[in-house]
Amino acid sequence: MSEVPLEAVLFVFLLIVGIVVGRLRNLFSAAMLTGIFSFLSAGLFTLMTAVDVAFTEAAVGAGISTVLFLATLALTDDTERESDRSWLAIGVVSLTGLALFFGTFDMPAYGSPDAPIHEGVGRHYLMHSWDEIGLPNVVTSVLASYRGFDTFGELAVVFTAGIGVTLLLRSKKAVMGPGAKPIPQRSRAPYVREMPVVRAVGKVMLPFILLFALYVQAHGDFGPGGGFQAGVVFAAGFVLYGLIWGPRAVQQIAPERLLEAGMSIGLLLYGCVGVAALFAGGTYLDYSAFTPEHPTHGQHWGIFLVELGVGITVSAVMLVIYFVFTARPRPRLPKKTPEQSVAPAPRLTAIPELPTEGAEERP
Amino acid sequence: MTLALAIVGTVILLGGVFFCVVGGIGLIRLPDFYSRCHAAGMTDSAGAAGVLVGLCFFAEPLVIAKLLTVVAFIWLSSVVSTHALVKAAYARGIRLENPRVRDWTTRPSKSGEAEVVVPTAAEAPSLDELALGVEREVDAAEAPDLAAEHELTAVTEQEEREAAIPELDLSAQPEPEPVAETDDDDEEVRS
Amino acid sequence: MTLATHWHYWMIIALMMAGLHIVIARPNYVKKLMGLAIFQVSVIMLYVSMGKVTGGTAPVYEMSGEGHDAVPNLDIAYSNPVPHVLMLTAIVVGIATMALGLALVVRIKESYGTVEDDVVIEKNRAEEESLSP
Repeated sequence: MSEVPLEAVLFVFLLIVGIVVGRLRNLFSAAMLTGIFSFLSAGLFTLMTAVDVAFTEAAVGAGISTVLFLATLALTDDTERESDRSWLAIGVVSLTGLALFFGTFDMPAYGSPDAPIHEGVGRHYLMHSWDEIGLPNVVTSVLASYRGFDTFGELAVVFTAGIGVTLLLRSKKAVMGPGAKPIPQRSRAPYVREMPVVRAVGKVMLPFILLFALYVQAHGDFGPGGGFQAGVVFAAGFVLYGLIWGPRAVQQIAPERLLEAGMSIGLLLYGCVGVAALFAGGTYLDYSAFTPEHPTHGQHWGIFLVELGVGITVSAVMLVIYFVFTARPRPRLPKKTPEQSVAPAPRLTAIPELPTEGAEERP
Repeated sequence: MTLALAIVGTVILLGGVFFCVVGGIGLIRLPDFYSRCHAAGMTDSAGAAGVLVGLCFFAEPLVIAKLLTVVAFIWLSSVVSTHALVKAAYARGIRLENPRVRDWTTRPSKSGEAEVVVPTAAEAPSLDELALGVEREVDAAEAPDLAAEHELTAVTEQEEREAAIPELDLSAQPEPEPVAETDDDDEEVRS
Repeated sequence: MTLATHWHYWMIIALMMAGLHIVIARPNYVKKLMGLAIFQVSVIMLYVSMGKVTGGTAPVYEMSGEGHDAVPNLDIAYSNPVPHVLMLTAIVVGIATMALGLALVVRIKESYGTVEDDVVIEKNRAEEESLSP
């Protein structure tokens, strides 16, 4: 069955969403549409048989990225003003697009098996990874073993981002010391507190989300999954808890000190596995050195530990970023002039007249 | 046998597609925010369930179990988020447009006037704060230079802790539940 | 080189240009970051589309046999796993830089009071002129 109609529909939707995101002035809607863009592209990735990439894009782009945008918008403006540089922008964009269009003339046909990209390491990994590593998911074996040093650098980038965000946005006042006032049983988030349905369902879903994260972590060897996706889903569970009960409730169950330790421990674990391989007699991150008589067993152990490190650091960093963003004190409103608020609440409908005969008409 | 299963599956699948299309049309054509939310919720619940249950008829048992689990989780999460959206919109001050539909959430008080708590522009949390569930600290201090205020200077941990915590009186007894609830409500709604 | 063989790449270029237009044309920093996210996703899509093999399945072996004797089926076509791995890294690095960029935007808002780029540049220039004699 041809996938062309499905791909064409998805591409058209993506293009429409991309154009509309630029034109929307309400940034809240634009943030939601960016999440929809990531989600639709995850569908396209699945059609292009890139299942691991689709998983990561859906978890990261449609999940964490949207929360980060919302957190930023809560600290900055909600709407955008008009701009008048459209003609220059369209000119530059057209020129660049035209140049890229001419660049695609030399590219091979989409899906061609004779494309130059398939000669070389790709074929070697597909043909030999079962004998050398022994995992069904070739992407995981490439990510964690063949290109393991690359993934180490990527984990370091994630760690650096966590440190960077902490340095930029961590506020003295936001730190919850051990003697801070405890949060009462009822939620402190004011307008969400009266939502018993949301609270009940959140409580039901949370263990499934965390269990699914552990499943994804463990089954990255056999199907789409691995450390990154698992870390993001794990953090998303806690973020859901924070959206319902407020960020301070999350800080009680996932204290910030523990998360900061987790950030470093994952990266350290990854590096130490490499050094252990050195001590075992191989090169850095050569897991086969752990069990020289059965190289694939050593590979399995190495990949397991390395992915565990990735999962720990990624979940810790995502949670730390969430904490830092939501704990940042909001722009204060002077009490005297409430009209000069940062973003006036948009009134979508007019408030109707209060019914004066309400007392008699109620059954 | 297989043809009958295929026909039943196709009918359910088309039913799900019908609900998705109707939900999409309703999202555009309905006049009021709350009716549009209802249309979107219909897409989540009936449309998704119809499509996924219809697919069950073409699959093997393990895939059927996975599809039904997906339906359960969609019903748990998407439908409840539609509910949360509607609640948040009401907290923000969006009201029903149709004057012939009575808003039963405003209960008339004993004096006969309805009490509606509508937050003003300054007090209403922004959409992002509603989404994140965070509170806005409204205290008297103006902060023109928030950047300097949040500068991470070298303070000892003791000073940091003392600065962060309000005074905690451990000898105070916990307030009895019913009395504290109304106090909390007023305080939270006003802040 | 026909429409049928290359239209994927052209649609992806259109998406890229939509993202690039947002980055250039919109003054709001947060909107620029959203355009950057769109641009990044479309670049990732370009690389992933290069790895696709027609008739190929995802690069996860189809195992035949049971348990310890399971053997992968190497006769069917698989898509190239290398672009997938590289793009996995790219997605994660992208979210890391996005988080840092958003943190910077929050600090800019607190320091300058606005997140529109021309206003910030103006204030910066005025500040520098007032500082330098």
